Parts: sequence; C-alpha cells; structure tokens
Amino acid sequence: MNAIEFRKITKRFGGFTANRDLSFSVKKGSIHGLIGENGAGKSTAMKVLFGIHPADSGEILIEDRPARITNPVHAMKTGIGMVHQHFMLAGPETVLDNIILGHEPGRVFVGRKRAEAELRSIAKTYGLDFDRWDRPVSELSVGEQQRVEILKLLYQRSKVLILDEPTAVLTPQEVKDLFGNLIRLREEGKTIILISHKLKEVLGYCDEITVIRRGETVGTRKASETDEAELARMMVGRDVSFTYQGERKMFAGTAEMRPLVRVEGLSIESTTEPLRDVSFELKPGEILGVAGVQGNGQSTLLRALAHPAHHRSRWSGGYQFNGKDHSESDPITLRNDGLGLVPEDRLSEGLLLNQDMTENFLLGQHEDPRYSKNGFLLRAKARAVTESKIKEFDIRPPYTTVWTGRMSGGNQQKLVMARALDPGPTVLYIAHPTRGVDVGAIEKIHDAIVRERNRGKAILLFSSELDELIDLCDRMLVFYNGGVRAEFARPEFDPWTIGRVMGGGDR
Amino acid sequence: MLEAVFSNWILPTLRVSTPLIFAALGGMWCERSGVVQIGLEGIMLVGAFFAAVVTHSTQNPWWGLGAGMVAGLVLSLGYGLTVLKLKANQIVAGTAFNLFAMGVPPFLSMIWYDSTGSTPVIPSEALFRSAPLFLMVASVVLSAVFYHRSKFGLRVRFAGEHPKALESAGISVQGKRWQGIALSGMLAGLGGATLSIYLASSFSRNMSSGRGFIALAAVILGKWLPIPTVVACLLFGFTELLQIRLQGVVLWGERPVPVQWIQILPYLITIVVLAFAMGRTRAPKALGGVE
Amino acid sequence: MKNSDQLRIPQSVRSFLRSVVGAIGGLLAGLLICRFAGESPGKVLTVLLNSSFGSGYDFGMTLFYMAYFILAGLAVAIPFKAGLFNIGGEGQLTIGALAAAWAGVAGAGIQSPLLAVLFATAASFLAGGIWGAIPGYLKAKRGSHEVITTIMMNFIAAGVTSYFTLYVLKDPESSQAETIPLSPVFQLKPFAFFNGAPMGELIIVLMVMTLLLHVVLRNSVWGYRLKATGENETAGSTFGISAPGAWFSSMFVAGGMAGLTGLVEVLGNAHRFKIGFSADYGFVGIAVALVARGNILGILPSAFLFGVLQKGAGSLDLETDKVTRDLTYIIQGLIILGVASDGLWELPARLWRKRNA
Repeated sequence: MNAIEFRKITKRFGGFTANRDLSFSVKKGSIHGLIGENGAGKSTAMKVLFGIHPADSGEILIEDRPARITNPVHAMKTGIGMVHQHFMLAGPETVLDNIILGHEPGRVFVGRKRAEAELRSIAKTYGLDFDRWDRPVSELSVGEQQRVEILKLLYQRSKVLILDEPTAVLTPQEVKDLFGNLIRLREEGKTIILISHKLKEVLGYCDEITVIRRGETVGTRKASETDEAELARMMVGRDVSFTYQGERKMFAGTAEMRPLVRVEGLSIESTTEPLRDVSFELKPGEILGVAGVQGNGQSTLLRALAHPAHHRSRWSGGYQFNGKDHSESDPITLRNDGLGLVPEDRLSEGLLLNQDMTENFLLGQHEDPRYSKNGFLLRAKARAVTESKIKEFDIRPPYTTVWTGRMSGGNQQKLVMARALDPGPTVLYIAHPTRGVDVGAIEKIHDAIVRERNRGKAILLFSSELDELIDLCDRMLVFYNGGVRAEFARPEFDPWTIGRVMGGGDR
Repeated sequence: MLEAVFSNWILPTLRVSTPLIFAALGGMWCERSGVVQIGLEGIMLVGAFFAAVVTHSTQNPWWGLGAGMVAGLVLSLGYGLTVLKLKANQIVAGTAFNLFAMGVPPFLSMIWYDSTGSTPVIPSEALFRSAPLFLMVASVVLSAVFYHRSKFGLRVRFAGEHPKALESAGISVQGKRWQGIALSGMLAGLGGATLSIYLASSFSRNMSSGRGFIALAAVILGKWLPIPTVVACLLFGFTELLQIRLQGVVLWGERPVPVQWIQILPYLITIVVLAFAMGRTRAPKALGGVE
Repeated sequence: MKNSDQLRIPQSVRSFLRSVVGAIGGLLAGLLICRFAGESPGKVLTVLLNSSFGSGYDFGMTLFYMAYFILAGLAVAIPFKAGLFNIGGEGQLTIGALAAAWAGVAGAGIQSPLLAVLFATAASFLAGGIWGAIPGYLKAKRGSHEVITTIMMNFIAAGVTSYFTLYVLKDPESSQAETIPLSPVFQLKPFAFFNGAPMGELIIVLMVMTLLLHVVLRNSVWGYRLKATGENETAGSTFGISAPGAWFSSMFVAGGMAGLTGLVEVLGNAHRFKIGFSADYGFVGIAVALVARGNILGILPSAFLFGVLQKGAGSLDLETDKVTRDLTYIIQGLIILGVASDGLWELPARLWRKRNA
C-alpha cells in the first residue's frame, strides 16, 4: 500500500510553474528520499501536500484513497506531520509543553501529569529515550531538540513523518542516532519522507529515492540499485564532476613568502561557541579551508578576525594582519589594510535587503576615499562602479536600482563577492560562498575564488560543505570543540578521515 | 503596632496599587500574546471616565465598574482591529489610541455635563469601600493560576513566543492575540474604574496621569510573569503612597523634601533596574512582530 | 518579473499619496464625530480653517505651532532612520525649554542679541540632546528598549522641570508656576505682519535647517550609517558601522532638535518657562513624523497640517457650543491611525481576490 501518492500535481505561481505533472508514490512503512536542487520544487510539493497552496491540477492519494487536504491542521489530523528545518520550538518553554501544545489532555487546565505518562509510553515504544520533560527546550542540544520534534509528531499520532533537511545541523554522531531512530520508527510501521540534498545519506538509509528537477519528477530509484553519480546526473540534468575543473596554477614561491595573516593562541570567550587557543598562518596564493560541524568555533573565529574590536573584552591571543598588529581593529581598519570579507550569512550579515544595489555596494566602503569625501558620499561614482560590477559578475537583474531583497540567492552572493573584491584586497575571508546558490552560479563563484588565489591573494575559506573545501583548498584546518583538531595538506585530503576528525575522532 | 502598620501602610499600599495591578495584569496577558500594549494609559483613562459617569447616573458602583470594563474592552478591540487586521505598527497605534483617549472624556463631558473633562461628584454611599480590593486579589490569583496551569495560558505564551509553532499545532495565533488584547482592555478598564469610583469620587481631567505607563513598566520589570509583575506594581504603589505621606515633611535640613523627587522615583527605578539589574530584557520573542 | 521594479510608481511617491489620503481620512472621521455633539462637521471645519488662516495674526499662530511640530517631528524622524522609536520628544522638549529659560537668566550679562540667542540655542540643544542621549546610551550599552526608557524619561523630565521651576528659578513676583523672565536681550522679535503672533525669522531658520538635515541625512556618511543600522544592524556592524554609535548620535541630535523648542516657546513666546506649556507636542511629533513617513522633507507639510489643526482647535471653545479644543486629541489619534493602518491599502485587493476566488 502507498502511504502517499502524488498524481500529476501541477502548481503555478503567476507565470512560473513550480510543480509540473509531479508524480511519485511513497510506500507505507518505508523511508523515502526526496532529493533535488534548491528551487527544484521539493518544498512546493510539500506545501501542496499540506494544503498551504492548493494544486492547480492533479490529485493526492493517501493510503490509496483520494484526499483533499485544505490546511496544515487538516494534514495533521490525517496523520501527516513535518519536522521543519527551523524547529517549531519555543526555547524558554519546557519540553513537555512544546510537545503537547494544541493537544493538551485537560479541558481547562493543561493536564501535564496525564500527558507525561502518555509520552513516556510513546517514547518507550519507539525507543526514543528521553526523560527531561520539564527542562526548557533551549537547554537541549540540537539533536535532542530534533528528537522533541519527532516526539511531537508521534504524540499527535502522525503516521507519515516528513523531515526537511534533518541532518544539516547535526554532528556525525547525532546523524547516526537520528537514522537509528528513524529505522526504529519504520519497524513500528511509520512512513518517513526525507527531504535532502545529501546524496550519501539518502543512499545509505532510504529504501527508495525520488529525484525532482525543475518541478518535474525525474524518476524514482531503489537505493540498492543506484549510485551517487546517477542521482547527481538526475538532479542536475547533466554529468557532474565532483571535483573542481578549473586551472590551479601553483603560486610561485609560496613556501618562502611571509604570511599575510598570523593568528597566535587566539581564544575568545563565549557561552555558545568559544574559541580555544587557535594558531595558524595564511600565506599569499593559498586557500586555507576551515572545516568542522557547525558550532565548533568556526563562526566565532570568522567574526573575531573580521571585527576584533567587537570582541575586545573576550579576546586573548595575537593577530597579525599584513605585518601589523590588528588585535583591536574594526572592520574599516582591516579593510583599509587589505581585507575583503564575505560574511557567513549574506541575508543577516551581508546585505541591506530593502536598499538598492548601489547602497549595498557602499556597505563597508562608505568611508573609502573613492566613494566619500569630507563626510559626504560620492553616490554617482559608487553607482557607476556598481554598474561595471554588474557587468563583470553578470548580476541579474542588471539594474543598480533593484532592491537586493528581490534578487535570487546566487545574484545576491555575486554582489557580496563583487563588493569584497572591489578594493583590491590582499586577503579574503570567505564564508559559505555557495550556500543557497544554484548550481550554475556555484561554478562561477568557485572560479572567482580560485582566480583570486592564482593572483596571489591569501584566502581563508569557511564552508560546511566538505566537498567544496576538498575541491578548492590547499590546506585545511578541522575545528572541533573550539579548537583546531587537525590540519591537513592537500595530498592528505580524504573525506572519511576528515569527517572522523570533525566528529571529534583522531586522524 | 502591627495593626498600625497594616492600616497605615500595607492597606493603603494595596489600595493605591489596585488600579496598577489590574492594568498591569491586562498588559501582561496582551504582551504575552505577542502584542505590545502601550495603550494602557488611554484605556485606563476611558475606563475611569465611563465608570464615573455610569456610577453617577445609576448610583450603583457595580454598574460603573462594568461600564469601565466595557469601555476598556471597546477601546482595546479598536486597537486590535488596527494592529491585527489593518497591520498598523503597534507602538504607533498605541500612541494614537492614547491621544484619542485623552480627547474622549472632555468631548463627552462637555456634551453631558457642560464641563471640560470632569464629572459630578458621586455621593460616598454610592462608592466602593473594599470590593475592588478583593476583586484585585482574585484577578491576581486567577491570572497566576491560568498563566501557569491552563491551556489558555500555555497557548497565549506560545502566541507571543513562537507563533508558528502554535499555528502548526492547529491553534489560531490571531485568536489568542484578540483574546490577549480583549483581556488587557477589560482589566485596564477595571483598573481605570477603580481610580474614579474607588480611590476618588469623580472623574477628573487626565486622571490616569501616567499610571498606564507605570503598569507597563511593571510588566517589563516583572519579566512578563504574573506574580513578579504584581510585586513591581506594589513597589510603585508604595512610592505613590510615600509621595503623599512625605508631602511637606521635613526629613533633613530645613525644607521639606521636594515632592518632585519622589514623583520621579518609580520612573527612575524602572530605568535603573531595566538597564543595570536585569541584563538584557527577555521579552516574548514575537512581541510587536507582524504576521 | 524583475523588470516591473523599474516601472512601478516610485515607493516614495506612493507612500506620500498614502499619507495624504490617510491623514485626510482621519481628519474627516474626527470631524464626523462632532455630529455626536450636535455640531455640523462643516461648521467645525470652517472654524478650524478660519481660525488658522483668517488673519495675519491667525496665520502667524499657525506657523508658531508649526515650528513646534517641525522640531517634535524631527525628534522622531531622525532616530527612526537608525531603527529607534523616540517616544521621548515630550521630555526632551520640556528640558530644552527649561534650559533656554535658564540661559536667559544666567546670561543676563550678555549684551549682544546674537550672542544671547546663540547661547540659548546651545543650552537648549545640549540639554535636550543629553536628555535624548541617555536612552540612546542605555540602548547602546545595556540593550534597554528605547520605547520604555524614553517614556520614563518623559515623566522624569516633568518632575525635574517642575522642581527647577518651583525651587530654583521661581519667579517670586508670580503666583503661577513659572520661572523668572528672560533678560530682554534674549527675547525674539516677531514679524509685524503677524500682528502680535509670536513668530519671526525663526520659522525660516527652522525650514532651512530641515532642508539641510534632509541633505545631510541623505548624502552624508553619518546618514548612511544611520540608515544601515536601521535597515540591518548586524550587517552594518559586520562591515564596521557601529550600531551603538548610530543610536547614540541619532538620539542626541533628536533630543537636541526637540530641545530647540526652547527657542520657539521661551525666547519667542512666553519669555520664561511655564509648567505645562506643551499640550503633548512631543507626542504629536510622532504623528508628524508618521504622516511624513519618516521623510525629513515631508516633515514640513506635515508639521504645517498639524499646526493648522492646533491653531484652529483653539477657537472651537469660543465658536461652538459643545466642541472644545480637546477635539484635536481625537483628530490627531485618528490621523495617526489613518496613516499607520497599512492594511487598509490591501483591503480592496483582498476583497477583489475573495470575490474572484
């Protein structure tokens, strides 16, 4: 029996077709992978299923019977539940309250005792050991919070559990636990749909995998009968090589050159993500990668190096940049001394979304003598340069007056890159250059990074995509628990070893 | 001795705190649901006015109390309409309602009593003696119990903390916010009513004189929790009492303590506590946000 | 799809039109309420207009109120650029006015009128500025929400000014709560054309100042810093724009602007500080800035509108039986709601969709 079947679902937004004749079925009691690139139509398909957007044509069958779901609550009552990428949990509230919200057993009062007894038995049935029902959710680790989300669905008696990119925020150990739990749920008869773009994971744990491209079903494969190369080809529509194809010119004399950045014993106090005794050097003409599971100190390192003044009270250690001490500098000083910065999250840290491209191009450059004089901006000049960058980086739409909030992720990222490269920096700190960026733009951004390296720039590259780092870097630092766990040179790059170190293991 | 302390200090503190406590509890419910309520001041004012008008004409304070509550409710529903339906900024709309409310009593008192903002004096036998005090205690107990133990309390908290979670659990966020706003209107209206028909015997111009803002400060100092909010109200009530008691009293030197210094005390306390004792304020996460 | 961005009516024009319509709607609603008092809205409107434009004196008074509202509006609009809501204009302007009164007493030895005015300007700007900078500082350093702290500062200002008026600068010859009069060299001369209304060159100075502020906020690096902070404080900070700096400086300038009310009220009008001179002008400033949609240049027409309202309402007491000047509070509230209710503009579209669904 099929738990869910999509039959020729089509959904249009204006002139844009998000789903076209989308058809696939999910067997009851299986783990089903749903994969596709950003914007392939995975999330639209789920929104159609949950009744958030009604389909223009086609039908959805649930347990082989046609179903018309009109809203998410209705979907929940039908037995379909979703664990969103951003958890639906209120931090200060307790685990118990978060789980039973909306389904409290009491009439007027919550009835916490009864709810807790029931939850204990559910947790026992599905082997999700958990006993801290009265702790605030904010005290839990990300993996535990995810378990709370799953318990929430089980408490609501969901039969189909949809997980949206569940492993993006987990450590390798937590990923293993998660899939252990999912397999247990499958044994108890639950159906699981896994939305992901990590081919290895879906191959490892799913029974069947459906690939979506440009809103259409490309096909469904049994995990045992396919491989990474085939899935990638189906996702992208052409052969994808997993390694960078551009020219990597060796920069002459790298070894003897004096380092542009020297970090010595840097520690930053922080309750959430401290940095502990980090030292490294960055030389011209090299890309030094910073790898690690999110939350192991990489974010703190980047923020500290880009804005030492902001971390003054929590700072200890040395920071030489371009031969000078910069351990108390602000971003403007660092920029004047040759730093180009692509921050971690372009939406929250990189852009003014309700401003046009020129205003965004000026961010961080507003005190550059090329763009301001006597305390006043030279906006016409900035606009002209922005126009030339739009041409150079092929940014679309090609008008300086467009609000950056209305541009696609890839085009936003190109603008952020163009801005970082504009002053002709000697050092670049680049974080997650291709996060949320379409495949076409990824290649252009990678090209630009390697080109800058070949010109002799020193680049510190932060990424959560290990494959990206392996492709681009000359050396790699692996972070764990706030410190550098190991360093790898390019010939030693091996995803399995690096992955193990990321999880706290040894080389 | 103990009796003297009770009748000279404790009871009067409770009395002057009563309007504050009603309004602050209302503000707490409203802000917990995710809606900023700086309109408490206006609601109190209008509540005080209508309570005095109705008590004067019926000679029964219970009708007056009801009228104050209904007037507050109506004003708060208007506020709900503008912020929930018409998506006005909550601080802007709250300010607008405060201005609007300042105009209402003089406008109506001109029509009804030919006076610019006061009502005729109500004879003392038509005034409350201590009923509002008990009503206040009941509101505190009910608010605390419902806040911590009831489904309603849980859901209101989520409406302000993580509305999407509430929505995805199948509960209407807007519904909870309407209820939070309505509660703030009724309670602040009651609070206003106690100003004119419990603590005084008529409505006088701009009678609330900042108490709505003090109540709001109490909510914040009380970290949006019922009992701490009430404690903050009692502290403010006590300084108000002090202000009355110290009028013309010589504490040191030759001149009496200027009443102004005591007047500004609650506001000063609020700022100091807010800035230096509380650390970063932990407001409901979705407070003031638009859906 | 993206090309349509080019073709749209510019955002600024659209929001200007919305403001105008919203303000007119609020005004009409306020006038209609007069029917409950048995007055015809038409008559009330005639009284309002006649009273504010009827004679040279009337027009001078309208400009006098406009001057208040320019300053109170700027006090709200400037921090708004940096993402702050300054509800504290009322406190800042009373403190500024008190400082002007103090300057007029303390500077009694000054001979030159120009020096006297400059001294009073500096005093009132600084006093208001510091009063505004305190919440700015607390926001920057302690993260205290500015809406709460500015409200509290309003009450503290009321206490402080009342103390100074009654105990420090009290006019012994007056039975009112007011300070000693300024020495004559501080008093501003009104235009003869206004027939006794207390408004002279100052209104021109204020208009030019608004224009300059507009240019500065739009084109200066400082203005850019405020804008970037208001728009996205994290992004600004990542690229070297200090949010605390923007908050502190914008609140200082805003408080200073409000403080300059001292020139209008004390030097230009009363020649002393009187407790309760402001009919909540600081709060009306929120309405002024709102109708101007935060646009500095838009403050001028907006302040003029509220000036007309304020002046006109004064005559309601005399010219009608049952409507008093307090009607302005109702109208001001309704105008704010008319302008702030963005959802109103989506209603037609929503109804249209509903009908077609």
